[in-house]
Amino acid sequence: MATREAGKKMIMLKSPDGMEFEVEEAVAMESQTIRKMIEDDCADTAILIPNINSKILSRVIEYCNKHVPTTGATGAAASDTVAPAALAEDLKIWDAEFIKVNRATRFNLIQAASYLNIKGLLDLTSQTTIDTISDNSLEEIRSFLSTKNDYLPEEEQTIRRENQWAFQ
Amino acid sequence: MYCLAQYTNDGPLASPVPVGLNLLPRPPRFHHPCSAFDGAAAAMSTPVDRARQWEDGRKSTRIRSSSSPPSSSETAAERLTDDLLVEILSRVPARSLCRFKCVSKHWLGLINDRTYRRKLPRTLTGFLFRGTTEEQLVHPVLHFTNLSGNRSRTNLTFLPYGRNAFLLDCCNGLLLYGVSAHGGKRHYVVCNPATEEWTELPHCDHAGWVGIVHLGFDPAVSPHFHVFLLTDELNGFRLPGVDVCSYVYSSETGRWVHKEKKWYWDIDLVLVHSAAYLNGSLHFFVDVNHSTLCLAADKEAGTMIYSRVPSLNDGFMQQSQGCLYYAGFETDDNDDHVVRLLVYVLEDYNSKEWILKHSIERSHLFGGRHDVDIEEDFCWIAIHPECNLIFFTLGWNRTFMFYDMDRRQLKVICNLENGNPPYLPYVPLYEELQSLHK
Repeated sequence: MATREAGKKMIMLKSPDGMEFEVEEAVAMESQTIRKMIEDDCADTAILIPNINSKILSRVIEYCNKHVPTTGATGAAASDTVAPAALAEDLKIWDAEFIKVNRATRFNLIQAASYLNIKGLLDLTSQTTIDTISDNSLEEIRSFLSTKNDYLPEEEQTIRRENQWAFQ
Repeated sequence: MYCLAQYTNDGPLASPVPVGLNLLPRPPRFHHPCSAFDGAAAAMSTPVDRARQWEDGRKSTRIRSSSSPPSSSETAAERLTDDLLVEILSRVPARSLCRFKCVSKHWLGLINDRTYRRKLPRTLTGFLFRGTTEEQLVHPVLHFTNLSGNRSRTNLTFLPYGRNAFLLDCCNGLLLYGVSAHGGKRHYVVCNPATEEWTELPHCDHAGWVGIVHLGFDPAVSPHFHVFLLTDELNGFRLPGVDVCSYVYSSETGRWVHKEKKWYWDIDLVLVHSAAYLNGSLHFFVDVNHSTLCLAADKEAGTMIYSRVPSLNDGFMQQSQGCLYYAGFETDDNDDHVVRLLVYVLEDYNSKEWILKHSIERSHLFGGRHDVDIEEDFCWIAIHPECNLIFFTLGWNRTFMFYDMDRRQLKVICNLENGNPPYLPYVPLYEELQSLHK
């Protein structure tokens, strides 16, 4: 473990607004998109992440840092002494705190998770969004997701009648 | 005007994207960071012409005025591509997804989109029933009614069977047909009308009368299906009881297995009108010596008594919301007069404990009609797989209605006059199945 600690390779991630983040390769490789670039030798030491601003990118890195398999990142101590179930529980609590963000940040995180292909983050952000809206009224959902009701009144009446059972 | 009855050329099973909804090219989901990412915001906005949307906005919707810039969350939400919206929607229960169809035409289009719908949860769209022999000259004909009573007809042109094909069962999107051949022999065909895949099962050389024939398929558990065929034959001269033979076909092995079991009671499998597939076994109930038993036939062709169930008139068994449901009519002790409908649920499969979930007086169920003869007039259709709705028909003209257990309300949908039962609940399946390729 000690040799891995010493020989950690670092990767520089750059956001379009000029910020640079130095992260361990293992952390960056939580993103399948970046992993593929590294594996294909597409990446030197710096990678420009074109459509994710520094604020969002820093949150994404924070997520990856927490979720990178513990043996590689934070050293042997954590994984050797803490049971896997406790670790999972700890991660769940951490995730719940992490996702307490405003709507815009959450949508930006969804995009970033999709673009960078980070499954865990995409699951977390999408599921939280669904949990937020699933019990809301249609009007609230439209407002939350900035979607406009483009049904004519009679069309809406028909589609509501068709799916009446789901409105209970 | 956009028409909900989308079942035109493609039939009920394809539910095409309504005319007028966007089908513009979508940006690829993952852009390789090596590639240029010009105009990211433009590429990621949803294809519907948003500018036009805002222009004809009604009072009920918020109109973004040019003087006040959009809030950051609004722009963020607008940048959610269709792919991402579907990613989010794929996590909702089927029931919420149906409600979400009413959010906007754009969402309806996404939910019905041929590519996306594979990712989204499926639910009951309506009921299938048989075509008449006159209709089925060249290909099997399938009738369909959706939950609001809109009816349509589809020719299964991909199946090379005509009037000798007989629709027997439908389970989670797959249909089971019996095809009679020369010499009175019958073989079985399983097909998916949505993907037009089908397979003919190897011949099953069974003995005795076929009492039960059902399809067992749960795509959430396995991509393979099973066909259950149970026959009964009297034990022999002057001996009580029957021999029950269970034949089970597995698409995984491509073979039938069969086992025989002697029952020392007279069970009549022909009287079994409903069966429910759950946990890999087919469940049905039979009357034995003044009591009612729930039997389970497993995939290894074993048949066993699962539990005792309350004795009810005109009972019905089905799977709904992941549990077994058993419903039927309770009669008055004195004069056999039907007094109420009882619905039992088996919430914990291992407990074998049937819990009374709902009870409704006959007079309330039939809207004050006193002339209803349960055996003659009432015909079970289904319990909704996702919620507490019971579908049935009533009377000679087969009035198709549903009863809402939560609201204790009865609603009439339409008349199914010339449609012949059974009405099989249909939940479409859009995935291609290896098990349907010969």
